[in-house]
Amino acid sequence: MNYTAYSTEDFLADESFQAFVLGHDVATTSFWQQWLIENPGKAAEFHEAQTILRQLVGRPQPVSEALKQEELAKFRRYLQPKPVLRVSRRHRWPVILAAFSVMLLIGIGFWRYMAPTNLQYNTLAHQQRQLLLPDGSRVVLNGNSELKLSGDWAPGQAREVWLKGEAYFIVRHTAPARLKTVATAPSNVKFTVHAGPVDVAVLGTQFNVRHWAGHTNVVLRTGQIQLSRHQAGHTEQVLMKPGELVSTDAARPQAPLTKRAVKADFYSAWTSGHLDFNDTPVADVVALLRDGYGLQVTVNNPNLLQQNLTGSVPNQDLEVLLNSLGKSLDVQVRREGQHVWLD
Amino acid sequence: MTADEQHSAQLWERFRSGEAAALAALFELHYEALFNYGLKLTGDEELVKDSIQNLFQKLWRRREGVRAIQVVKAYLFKALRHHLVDETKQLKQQRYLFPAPADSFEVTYSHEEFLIAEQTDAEQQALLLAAINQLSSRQREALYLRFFDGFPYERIAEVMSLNTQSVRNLVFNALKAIRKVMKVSWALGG
Repeated sequence: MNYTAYSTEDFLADESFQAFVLGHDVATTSFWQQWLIENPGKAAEFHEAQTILRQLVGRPQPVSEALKQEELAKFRRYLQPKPVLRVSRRHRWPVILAAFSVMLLIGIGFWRYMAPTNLQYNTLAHQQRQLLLPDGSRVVLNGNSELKLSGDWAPGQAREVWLKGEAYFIVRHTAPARLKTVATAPSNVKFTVHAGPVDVAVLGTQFNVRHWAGHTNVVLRTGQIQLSRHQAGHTEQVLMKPGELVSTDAARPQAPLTKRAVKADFYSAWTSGHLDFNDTPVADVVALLRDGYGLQVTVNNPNLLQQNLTGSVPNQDLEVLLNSLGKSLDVQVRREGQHVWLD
Repeated sequence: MTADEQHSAQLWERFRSGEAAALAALFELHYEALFNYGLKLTGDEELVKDSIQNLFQKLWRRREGVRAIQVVKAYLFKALRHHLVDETKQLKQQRYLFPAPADSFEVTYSHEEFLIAEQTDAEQQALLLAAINQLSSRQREALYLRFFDGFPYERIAEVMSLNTQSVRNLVFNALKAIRKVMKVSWALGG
């Protein structure tokens, strides 16, 4: 197909381009990201179509877990066979015994069905997965990650998940509305993410957790987090506010837990596949590369840090991100392992 | 085929071989999407709940004649849509309202439903909603299936009983109309 003659409307109508904006599969996303790099002359049309389509992407409203469970129970009752028995007095006992055995079997089956099963979700490199947890909370799991939980979350019980890799959490508030402070809330209304030495406890918020190679960082977007770190027999705790980042490094266990203000949107931008800059200081972008990607960044031209960036760059892949940053800033980007130079 | 679609297809095969638990699992897996779609079409929560129950009960009763299908979610959406068409026709007749238009629903949107709602200002949201509300109800439904449930054109065609080209046109004309409105807003805004 000849994409180079594409107008905004052609992009809009293109099913593959729509799938890219919807973020449905990795192959389509990388195709269009690469396409943009190769066809910079079409960037205006590309971005206009992307902006229009992004506005239309919606989420079905969460259905309350209680409603769903009630309806499911109703349907299960329908599925269960209703034995109709007419029994003469003479044959009553064997039938009662048989009925009793059937009930016992159903009971055992039900008990086994209800017994806790552990759930585990994994992603491959460059794959993202959207998960709906039993309480209606949502998780976007980034590539190369793993999320575990026990499958028997009953309403009114503590919610716990174990994360390796990176995930963005949109947690449902299940506590009574008067409970607003996570620090004083009872554990049965909390949602806790265990990531390495760190426990992230919340009531209902949106936040990003990244736990890779001994390095854990947590960025809060809305609400409140009670973060605890357990190591060497003692526990440290901090309370986080929106826009704050806390990071820990297994290599420096003595470093105290400290909070820093960051642009929280940057740290969850991987879920949408692009970073949006709006008159953003380059210094903030460099901070993101350091904290978000664990890179060591050297900027050879200090004037660069004074500049501001506006626009949208693809970020699902670090190479693509660095490449387009270099182009936007008109600088050479070199990378050796975890070290990046902006010349 | 995505992993979720594969999982559903496997459950469907187990259901066809008579396993009740597999059908209950499909019920649970697709309940939220079906409920939201039904609500979008009719705005009537009780009606939607009943229709989903009826739909699955009917599947169970007819399990021996149920065919193999490719995409379970699209099949369920189509079946729910049929149920709702029948139900709303009956309701309208019972209430002596206007003759029911064949299979058309008032699909309405509210701004909280859009993923980027938090990042856009009230004025822009109002414009977008106004643009969407000018569209035909079929266009609105097709947009919902495309951008909320992520169905490809081919599956939207299956759900709405149209051909793929008609869906393509519906969505494209809707997007053109929305672009027109948004363009005006950019021109005004800056």
